[in-house]
Amino acid sequence: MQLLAPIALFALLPLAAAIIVLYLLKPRRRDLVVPSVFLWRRAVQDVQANAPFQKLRRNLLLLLQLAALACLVAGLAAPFFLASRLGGKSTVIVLDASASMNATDADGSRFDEARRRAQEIVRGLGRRDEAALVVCGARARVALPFSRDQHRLLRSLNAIPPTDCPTNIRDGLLLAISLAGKRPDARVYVISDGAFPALPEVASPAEVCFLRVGARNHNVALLAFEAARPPAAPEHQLFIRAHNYAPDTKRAVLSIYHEDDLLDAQQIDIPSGQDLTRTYQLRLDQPGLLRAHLDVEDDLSTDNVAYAFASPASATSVLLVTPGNLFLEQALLVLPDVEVYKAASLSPDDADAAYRDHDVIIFDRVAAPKPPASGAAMVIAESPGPLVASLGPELDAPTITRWDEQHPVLKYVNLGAIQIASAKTLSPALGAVVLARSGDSPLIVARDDPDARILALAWNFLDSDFPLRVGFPVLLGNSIRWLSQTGALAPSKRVGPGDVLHFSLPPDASHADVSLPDGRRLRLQPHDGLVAFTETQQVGPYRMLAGDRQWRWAIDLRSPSESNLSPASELKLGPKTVPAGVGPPKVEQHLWPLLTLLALALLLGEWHLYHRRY
Amino acid sequence: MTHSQASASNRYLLSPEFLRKLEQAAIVSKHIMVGRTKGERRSARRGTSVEFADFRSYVPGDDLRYLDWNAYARLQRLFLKLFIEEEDLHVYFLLDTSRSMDFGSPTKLEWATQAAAALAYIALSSGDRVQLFAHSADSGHRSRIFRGRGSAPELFGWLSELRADNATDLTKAVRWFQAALPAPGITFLLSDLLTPDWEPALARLGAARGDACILQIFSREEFDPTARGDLRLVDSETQQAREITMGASVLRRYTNERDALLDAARKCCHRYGFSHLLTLNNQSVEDVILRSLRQLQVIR
Repeated sequence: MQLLAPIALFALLPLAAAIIVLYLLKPRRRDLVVPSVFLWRRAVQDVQANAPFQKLRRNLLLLLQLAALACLVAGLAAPFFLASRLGGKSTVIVLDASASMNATDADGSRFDEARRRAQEIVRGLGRRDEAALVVCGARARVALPFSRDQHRLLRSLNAIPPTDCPTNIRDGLLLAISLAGKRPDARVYVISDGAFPALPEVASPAEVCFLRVGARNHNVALLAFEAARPPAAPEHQLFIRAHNYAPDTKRAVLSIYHEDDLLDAQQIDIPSGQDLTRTYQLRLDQPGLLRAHLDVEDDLSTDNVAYAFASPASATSVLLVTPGNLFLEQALLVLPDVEVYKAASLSPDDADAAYRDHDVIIFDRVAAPKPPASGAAMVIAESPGPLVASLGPELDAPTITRWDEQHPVLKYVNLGAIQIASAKTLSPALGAVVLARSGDSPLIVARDDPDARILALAWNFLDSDFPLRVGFPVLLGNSIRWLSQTGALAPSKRVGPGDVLHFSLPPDASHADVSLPDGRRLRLQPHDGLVAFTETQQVGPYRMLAGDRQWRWAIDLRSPSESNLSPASELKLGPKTVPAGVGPPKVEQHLWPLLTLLALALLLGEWHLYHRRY
Repeated sequence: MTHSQASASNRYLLSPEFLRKLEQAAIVSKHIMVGRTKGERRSARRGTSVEFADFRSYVPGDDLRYLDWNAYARLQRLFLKLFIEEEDLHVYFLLDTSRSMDFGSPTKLEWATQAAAALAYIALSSGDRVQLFAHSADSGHRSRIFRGRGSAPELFGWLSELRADNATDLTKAVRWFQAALPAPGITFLLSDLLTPDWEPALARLGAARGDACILQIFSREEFDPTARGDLRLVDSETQQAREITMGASVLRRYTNERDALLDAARKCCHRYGFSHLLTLNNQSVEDVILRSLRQLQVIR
């Protein structure tokens, strides 16, 4: 409580003294001759009988007058206090729901604390104020557009769950700024621990306040966990990196599990601010999910677990059906973990057995006797079958003008400079994807069915300089890897929190059931045989079943920015630096109207009492 | 003295029209009392009027004119017929002339003298005897006994000379009045009764034979005070002062006390068989006499 004009208080004593003096003065009474005071004497008799009460009541009048005077003088002194009330503002609350907000260094968790701050702001809204809610997880979204309904805002706040995702604070701020930008006098509250990098490209015309949650950085995190088996090596190599962000050395137990079997456990001491790496040589008979777990007392448990997939111990078996192609044979032999078998031809009767025995069959200038019902095939300069494409007219010296660099087959492959003598155009069938084309003519086409993958290339490698280029073994390696993933634990790659996964379901699957790490189950309905899975906000293993097919993947955090729990002291937005605060900015809440009303009420009470008395 | 002479000499008290109306009225007594001379009132005595009262056996010496010969023919016994005797009525007026009666416009005393004059004129017109008494704490005045309409000017003159003075001592006044009464009759007490001893005074009046009518006179300001603020009330009779802040609460209490006094006076009068009427000084005397007192059956 502060006073704007404390000097006004000096008026209290003389004014109070004046009231008391006036009160003590005996009123001058007017003489009135009446026929008889007989009745008057009786009328005032009971008043006099209650003389002490009358005295008290007279004093009560004085006290009421003095209280009213005190209120008026206090009002003149203009007292005020700093309140969190927002008053006439449009407010956008950006709530950080990222993994670091699960840290337990606040009351409950940082996210609980952030939600409480947001609730305080909402409760502080005036009746004409409005607020919107933006949530920042892996993706930013508007949880509630501008609303003046406090109950609705609070309900929306309570319904926001924390996630294990990294922060996409940039999108969240841009969303909030675009919401606030349409309203004058708007204010954006960012409630976060600041575990995100600076945002030099974000400039806000609206006022931005940064409300920081979190107090300390006591965290140990697993930042890397990889499993690989070198070619021809009998054992898998595991690599683990842990980091201690805490200010003191942390002792932890590092455990390695294969599925649910404990492979190794050891106690480790990680000095403050340092990495600790461990490598393991482990013989794994079966492929499966590897889990590294740190048992340590810290504030964030989400980053104490990491996952990796142990690839199958056997090498990829490739059957090369070719009249003879030295470049292809040599390139396949160079590829690690690939066993190459060679045949000059393949009869239709042997095709099913060959598809079953080999992971990939390469048909080089040999027509495939039948497409694989289950398996993978690569067809070079021949018809891949009606399921993939049909051969069209021949092109003379085509140049590959466009190709899909993002497709796993063409990653890191430059097809632009290849000289090709001639090629046959491929007319892709329905469901096939064109990966490269010369002008409008497709030259590489792929089909990805649930149990079968087929890749078709339209030109003879021997009629081009492609085998002499760097991209040749890369494309071959990519192709073998992509083709051999059918029916395996796919996708076997690591998935980050918040990533969107797409799956092609078997044709007979009407739905897919997903088991989440927290035990919940989701049923996904496919559209055109495809499902997209977005509920990847939790760290842990996932399993999806569709028909007789199963997919497994695991999500872990491995984000240094999320694991570093140091609360930020400021928020850098473009040229501006917003200092961190712990609460909404205070506004002056003046009390003089309240005091004036109180004085008026006291005077009314005094008036009423006076008239009741007389 | 004729009616015109009476009105001419006392034109300040009662108007000729009012006097004419009064001549039609008569004072009603609830009791039948013995009078002094022949009059127009039923008397306790049996007499010579035409109204039959009773029979009694003949005794020698009785006037033979009142023998009932018809009864003698049937019963062979001599009966004497008794007739109602009609005599005059004694009407007394006791006026409170204390200083408390000197208030209002007209003053309560002026109103009381007008009312007394009107009632006395009715009595004189009916052939009744009228005597006036005026009393305050230290002094008492009484008139001679007036009879006949011709004495009205003198009576009016006597009333006109009354002045308010001294304090009230109603008990003393009643005692003095009763000691001076020549015969029982009907008494009109005109006072504001604003004295603590009003009840013993009425009790004393009730203990004596005769009828009474109490006219309690208040001034309008007294009945419904309009003064406000911080006041020092001074009693006109005793000069006692009382400091008071006139407000709604005090006025409410005063009104309650006033009503309680009027109610007590009404009940006390009822107890003794008296008539009681509250009048205000701004009420018309004519209206009070000819309407209110008629309703009380004091006048017919």
